[in-house]
Amino acid sequence: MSSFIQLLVSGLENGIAYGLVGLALVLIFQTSRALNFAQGTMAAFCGYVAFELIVTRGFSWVIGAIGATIVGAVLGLGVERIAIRPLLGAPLLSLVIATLAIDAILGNVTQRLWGADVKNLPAPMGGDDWNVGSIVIGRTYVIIAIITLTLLALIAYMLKHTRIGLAMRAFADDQFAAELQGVKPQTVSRTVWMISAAIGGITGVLFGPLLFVQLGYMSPIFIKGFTAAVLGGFVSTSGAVLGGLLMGVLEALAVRYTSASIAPMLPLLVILVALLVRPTGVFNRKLATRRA
Amino acid sequence: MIIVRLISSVREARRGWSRKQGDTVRKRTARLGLALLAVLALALAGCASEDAVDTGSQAASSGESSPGVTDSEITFGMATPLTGNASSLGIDGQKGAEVFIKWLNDQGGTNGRKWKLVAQDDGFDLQKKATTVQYLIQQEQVFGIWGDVGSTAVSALPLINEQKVPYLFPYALAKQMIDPVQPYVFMDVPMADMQEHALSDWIADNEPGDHKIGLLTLNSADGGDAVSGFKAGKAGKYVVGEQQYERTATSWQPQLVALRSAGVTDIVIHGSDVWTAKILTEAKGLGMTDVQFYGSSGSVTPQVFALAGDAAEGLRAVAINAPSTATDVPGVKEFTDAFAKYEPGYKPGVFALHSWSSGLILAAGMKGIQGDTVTRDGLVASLEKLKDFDTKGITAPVSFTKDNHEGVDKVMLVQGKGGQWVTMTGFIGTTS
Repeated sequence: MSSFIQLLVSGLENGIAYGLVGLALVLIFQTSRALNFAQGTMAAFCGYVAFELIVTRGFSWVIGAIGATIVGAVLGLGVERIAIRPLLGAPLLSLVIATLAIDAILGNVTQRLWGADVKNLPAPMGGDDWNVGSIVIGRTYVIIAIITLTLLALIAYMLKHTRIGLAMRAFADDQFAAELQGVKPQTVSRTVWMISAAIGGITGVLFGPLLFVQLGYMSPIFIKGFTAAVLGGFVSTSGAVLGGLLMGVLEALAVRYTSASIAPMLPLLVILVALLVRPTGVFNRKLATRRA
Repeated sequence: MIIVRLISSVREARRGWSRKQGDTVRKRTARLGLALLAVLALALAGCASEDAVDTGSQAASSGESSPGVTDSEITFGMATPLTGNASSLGIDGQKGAEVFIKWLNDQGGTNGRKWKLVAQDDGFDLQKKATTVQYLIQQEQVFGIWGDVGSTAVSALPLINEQKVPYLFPYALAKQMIDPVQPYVFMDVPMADMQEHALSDWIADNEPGDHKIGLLTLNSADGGDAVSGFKAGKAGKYVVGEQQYERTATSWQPQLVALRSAGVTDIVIHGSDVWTAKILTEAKGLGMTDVQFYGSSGSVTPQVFALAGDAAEGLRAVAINAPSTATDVPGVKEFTDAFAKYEPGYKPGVFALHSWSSGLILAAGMKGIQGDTVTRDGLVASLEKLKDFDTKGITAPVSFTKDNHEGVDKVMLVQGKGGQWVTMTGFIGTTS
């Protein structure tokens, strides 16, 4: 029984991480209708920045994380200004290609700045993981969960109670009508990309101790975060987080209760079936109701 | 005649498109014509590239040297990961080859010529590996491909065999590289199945008592070979659990929990130094401190200690060569001194050492080419005569025959102590 519970805990730990990445992807898609394929590389770049600040220059972990997050926001602003804004209104394929190009360029820049060696970034909290009976709970994953839930709450508050949040919702609903009402697309686009990239930045910093900072270390997390966003229908930030949790738990249980050859495929098969049954997203109830 | 008709149908289709009425029959004909033109163009390009290769082999058979050989230089190609998350391995291997070449060229090179290396990035990707090797052979016209890193090497085998280009000492543990014997492929690393078979025998012969062994391997060709090799050895009977992970894995907790619930006393990991470090760190987090971990040859680098810290203390591993820090080994000392001279400030790892030792073997093969012309087939014949070649203690003695291109069938065991690898055994083989 304790093994089963440990598996659930491991699955939820990984799942909350996927949800955090999915949340950032959904935020961009809601407003720009763009899929940011450079999100993983941007997050990895911030992980390297955190390493530079914390390990090379000796700043505290908190200062390093804040610095990396700010760099992430600036990176998002730069990407939006150079590659995305000129393509606002263009077909989705153009935006996808633009983000793929950013991904390749940023990856090369990262390698030129920091080389190919693997870096060891310290965890936010030192010491051993927590034990609850025989169940081990990872300290870093608890911090990831706290940050994810805090971000969910902040984003929900912003969308409902601030002018920019209202503008973002209007823009996501009907871009043309929003512009007629005076919403500036550049302002919305800029804000969303900065927030999403900043979230990516903090994700890169949090995963650095878990995966080691190296070229491409955030790519697998990005892929799983993308799947989490798909499960949420790409319209719901909370749906993306729930999708991530579902994926994490399925992965963990598949490893334990199926054969080694089936385990990697099983979560994706379940997701495929789920999307065939609910194409708008497993956790996207509001949209399904509205369009019905 | 056919081409003229195709072109005229395309022209006619363009005139049809400019008219307001869409003539669908002509549009269809034009599209078909364009498609056939494209197929024809591709076929012609293929014939041209085949002609280029044929020219090279014809030159060799007529007494001239093979492509990649001039009066003053012999050029080797390397298709290895220089970007992406395996780039630290590929760059280390490239550095080792470059330092070896500088060291060798300072002594005059071989065959009256100096060596040159052209390295290209394959991104540790199967498809890109094949196209990169093709580029090196056809565009750069290299004499041979040397020192690649990664089991992606298997994707280059059809091209290598078709174009008869020596594929020299890739650091690839997939059994397809030697079984069946590939006439132009020479290896200097024991395959994954042999390495794990030797480890399995060693555990049974030297660690008496009850064992419950778990296998935790990468889901890949060499990962599968590692499993079958371990189970074929004497300790195979102790295996109680097998788990796999993907290259894209971000956590190994589920696999470790599954093995822990099987009551394992030992876990054999197959994977790189980074993956091994992550697994050890997570295992420590799960409280699995009473389990003896064994790593594979890819984990025998200084980096595993830098990443895993205390969690790597006591880790045992199979090594295909002496540790890159074992300067009491004459070959390793020579290698370390060369790096101090040609690349001061760079800390070479196991892949640089592999490039160095394989360079020694390659140089011996080149020196053994009979006659004045330097040909690919001449190198193959020379290497197949190499017997018990001494790499000055870096690897076990190397031998090839026409029917055996594996080169080495011995490994050594090493252990992590005080943040360094120390040898536990000399070179050992399988005992079952």
